[in-house]
Amino acid sequence: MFLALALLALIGSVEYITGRDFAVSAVYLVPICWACWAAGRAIGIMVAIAGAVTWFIADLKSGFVYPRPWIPYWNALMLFVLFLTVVFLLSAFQTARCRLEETVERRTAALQEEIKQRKRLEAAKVQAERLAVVGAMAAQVAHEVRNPLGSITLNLDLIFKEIDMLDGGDGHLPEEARALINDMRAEVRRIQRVIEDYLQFARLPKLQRQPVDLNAFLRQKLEFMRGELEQSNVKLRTHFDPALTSINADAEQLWQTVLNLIRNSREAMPDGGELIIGTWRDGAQALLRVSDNGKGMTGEHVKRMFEPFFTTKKEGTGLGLALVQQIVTEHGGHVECESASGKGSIFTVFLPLLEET
Amino acid sequence: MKQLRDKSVLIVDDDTRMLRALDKVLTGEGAVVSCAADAGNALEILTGRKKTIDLVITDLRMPFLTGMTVLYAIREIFPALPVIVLTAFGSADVKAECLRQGAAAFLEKPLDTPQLLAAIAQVFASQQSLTAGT
Repeated sequence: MFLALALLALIGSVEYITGRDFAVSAVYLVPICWACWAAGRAIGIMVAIAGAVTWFIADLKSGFVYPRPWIPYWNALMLFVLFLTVVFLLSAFQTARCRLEETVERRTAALQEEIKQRKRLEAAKVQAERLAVVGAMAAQVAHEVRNPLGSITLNLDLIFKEIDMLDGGDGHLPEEARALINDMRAEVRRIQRVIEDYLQFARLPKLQRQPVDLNAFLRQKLEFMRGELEQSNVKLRTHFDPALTSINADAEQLWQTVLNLIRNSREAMPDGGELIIGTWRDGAQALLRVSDNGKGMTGEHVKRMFEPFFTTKKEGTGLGLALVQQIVTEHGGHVECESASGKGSIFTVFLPLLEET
Repeated sequence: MKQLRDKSVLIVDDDTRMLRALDKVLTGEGAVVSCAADAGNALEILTGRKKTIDLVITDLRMPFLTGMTVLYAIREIFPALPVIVLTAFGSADVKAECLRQGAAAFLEKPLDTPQLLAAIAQVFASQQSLTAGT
């Protein structure tokens, strides 16, 4: 502003030296426009007033004699009106330009968000296709493997019963044979668990969605799990946000995701710990959070943890959390994980709430 | 105590080792067991000796006629005869279809003897309460 005023003083001096000249009058617009553009309308008006006053003083000092004494006042006023009009036009133009810039910025941000969303959906689609192949293969393999597993299991039970009747007389106790059979049973169960993990993808039927009261649903289901968790020294704490309204979900599949998250947490706390399962409302979203104070993971592991077949466990298939992501994505939500090595992990499932009518 | 004393059970499975294991387990529990390696054979046994069969345990995936055919046929011909479907793999849709077609239970292999006997006991118990109710 001070620079603009200095420029005005300079123009006024030039006008005083050169005498009354309209060409110089037009040059007054330069500092006015500049001040208005750089500092806004209010400063523009102030510089316009200063411009008109400078012109008036220069005009009086130049010694020009008007036919009527009020003419220089009138000219100064007209010039001020002209300056003011220019200031208003310029600031209106500037406001429009700012608004346009804001719109462009907003639209660009929206576009970027949409691109991100599309990329996420695209990745989810690729993953879903990949998992569908896993499911189809699993169904085939399961049929081939579970049949013999079925007869092995029953035959182990039969041998278990037969042991008492067999007396080899060589000092071997039936308990030793039974222990061996129990080892074999455990191995059969292990194979069974691996197949089950793969079969989860083959089992997923189309979503049968209906309004689900997440709080009531979890409260009821978790109550049955409490005893089982306590047996493995896991203390369950729950939190249900009363502000939470219904979600549109396939309850069975949703429970499968919770079960997988619980299983994941339990495996991270082999010596027991605390498991917190809770719901929260965040705007139009329901948050379902499962957190533990187990081993936790490194940042690199967190990044990859929803990838199919990625596992940090010796006996894991790396499919449990991939299934969680698959089901949540099909429900129009997403899942996030925060973890700190040695401190524990927090899994948060975001699901859209049903619109209230 | 033998849980299945005097019960006549028909097992249908194309896997002969599974068939033999099931036969031994159920015979051990006192059941009179008939075995069929395919659905056609099962239907022959059923239509020939319908009075003596109390329970059918059938696999689903078998060559030619599937276990589902056995289920349809039994539903038409012997609607009161309970059928347990015992399969190596069944999707949720298959399970729902079996139960809709009147299967008394839907079990998946592998399952151990206590699980199998518990399922059979439950089927007989619910059938008994049904008979008592009518």
